[in-house]
Amino acid sequence: MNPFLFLRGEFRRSWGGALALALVLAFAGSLSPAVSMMERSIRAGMAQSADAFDLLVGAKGSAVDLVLGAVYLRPEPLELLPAGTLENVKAHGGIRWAAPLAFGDRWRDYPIAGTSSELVTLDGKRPLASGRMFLNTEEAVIGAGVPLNIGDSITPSHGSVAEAVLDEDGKDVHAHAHTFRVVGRMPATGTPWDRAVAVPIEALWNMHEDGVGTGRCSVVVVKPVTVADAYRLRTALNDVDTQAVFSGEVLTRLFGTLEQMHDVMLLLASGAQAAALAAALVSGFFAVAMRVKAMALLRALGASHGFLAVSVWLMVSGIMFAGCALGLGLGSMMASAASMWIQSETGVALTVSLSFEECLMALSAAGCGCVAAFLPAWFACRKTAGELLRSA
Amino acid sequence: MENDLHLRNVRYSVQDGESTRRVLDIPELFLPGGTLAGIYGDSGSGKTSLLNLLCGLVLPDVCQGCELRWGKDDLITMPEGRRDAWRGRHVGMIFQDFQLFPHLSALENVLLPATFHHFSIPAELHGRARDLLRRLGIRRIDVPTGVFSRGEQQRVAMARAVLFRPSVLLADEPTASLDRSNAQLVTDELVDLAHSEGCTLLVVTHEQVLHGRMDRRFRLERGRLLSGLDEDLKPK
Repeated sequence: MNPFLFLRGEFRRSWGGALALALVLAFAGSLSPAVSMMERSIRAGMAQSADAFDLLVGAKGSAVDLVLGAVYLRPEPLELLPAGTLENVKAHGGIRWAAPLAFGDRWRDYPIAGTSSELVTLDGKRPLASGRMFLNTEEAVIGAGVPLNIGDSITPSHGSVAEAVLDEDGKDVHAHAHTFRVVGRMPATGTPWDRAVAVPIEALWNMHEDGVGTGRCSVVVVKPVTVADAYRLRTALNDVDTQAVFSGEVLTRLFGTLEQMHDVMLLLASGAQAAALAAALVSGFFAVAMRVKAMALLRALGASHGFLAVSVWLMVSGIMFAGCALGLGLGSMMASAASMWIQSETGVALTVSLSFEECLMALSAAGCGCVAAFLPAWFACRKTAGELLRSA
Repeated sequence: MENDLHLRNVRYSVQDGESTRRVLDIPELFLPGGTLAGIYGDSGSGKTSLLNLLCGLVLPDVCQGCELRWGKDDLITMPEGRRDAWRGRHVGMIFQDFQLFPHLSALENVLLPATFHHFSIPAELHGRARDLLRRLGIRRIDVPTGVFSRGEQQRVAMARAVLFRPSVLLADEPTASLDRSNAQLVTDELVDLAHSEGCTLLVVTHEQVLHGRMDRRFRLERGRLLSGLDEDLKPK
């Protein structure tokens, strides 16, 4: 038996409907893989961004704000640490390098980070892509994604990116008098730091006699020598005024929230997919009901029950399978588009990849569809030729 | 002979709302293999039901001494699956409205019954389908039959009916929806095919020309099969 010739004719007859049904299934089936791929890529992108930031020391307050501010350069309001904290941290030993971080200024919507050369080059582990390190408070090193060239001058504005206010001429009302000359460029890291302008922290101290107090910073980024050092430092640096947090630990907490969101969205997406599969199944019954005459004819020409059942099963499950496969592709495309948007908004490089997990999702949905397709197949073949003739 | 038709005590009723209605009542009929027989009768006299019975699509009412046989093949005792297979192999069906699949080509339509039995259609059947179409004057064998004229469609349907060299050809008003010249063509070819393939041919028709080519004529009157009368078929 070979039902494909009959199916070819039926497909030519109603390819529009079949295509529409497959597209509905594809759309409904694209959500779960898209959510799953997004979650994985956000997780990986965020974790990768935090690689350089093992231990963060900040003023007492929200650990999440500390990580979001230092690692992701989000405009979180961070309290200043007491003067001398950097020296105090360094005095604990077991530290490969420690660098101060202070924020509060920007060039256009690129945040300016006041720090030291250790953080810019990870203490020499990540050399600049071009140019050289800043040597005085008039010089800046830019991230790979900042649209400036070496030799350009910039005038920073006060306030975080979210607070930018332009006057009628398009000039920033918070512009400082100070200028920086770009002398170097960091390599692309795929982190929000690609959008950063790094300047010596001393430059910020000079610009803000009233604000960022001389010798003070918001965060000290610490690279411990060993894991044991890391735990020891965290305990030692958690005192009355300061908190020390592992960025990885905070991320794990954030990921927990992300995972809950992911679970809820996955549940909704699965619901949508189940509804679409059910609709396809109902369409399968309608398709059978519409083809009673054709099936009576096939029986009259000598086709068996089995031929009808296999034909209907192939027809319905074929559409379901095609819909689920298309959904996987559509989901990948949606996840790629979303990740490109997130990347442009945050600077976190997201790599979306299709894994076994998503394939399994699509396969199991298609599998459910193929099993469900037995119902209209049974519906089609349970009638005798005589019954078919009478209802035709 | 292999394709002699034996009918005895065949009654057939259908459910009509609450009551059952007797559609056919044939105490006895014997047709030797190779006979060309024409059947006529008013609408509702049971013509289509008779054809459905003869090809095993429906079965007669259960009763003592009831017999419906083609040669040795007893349709009443044959299980449904075997009956389907038997019908596919031994019976060619031709309908008034052709019953082609309009989105399949002429060749595909003729070969469709072969796909019930074969995954890959044997070259010999392919060749036979092409020969039949050529013989019946169909040149556009790869064109969907939806664009064919009615006469062409009926000739494609005839090629499909005789693909497996059936021993029985059943035709239900094969010329009724054709114009005069196409009706004449189809009549000639139907009779030629029945002769050359050695089939028993049963035709339900009201066309005098077609009846004129038959060996025997029957009249169905309220489910009873009577000998045909020549004057019934004369134009009034």
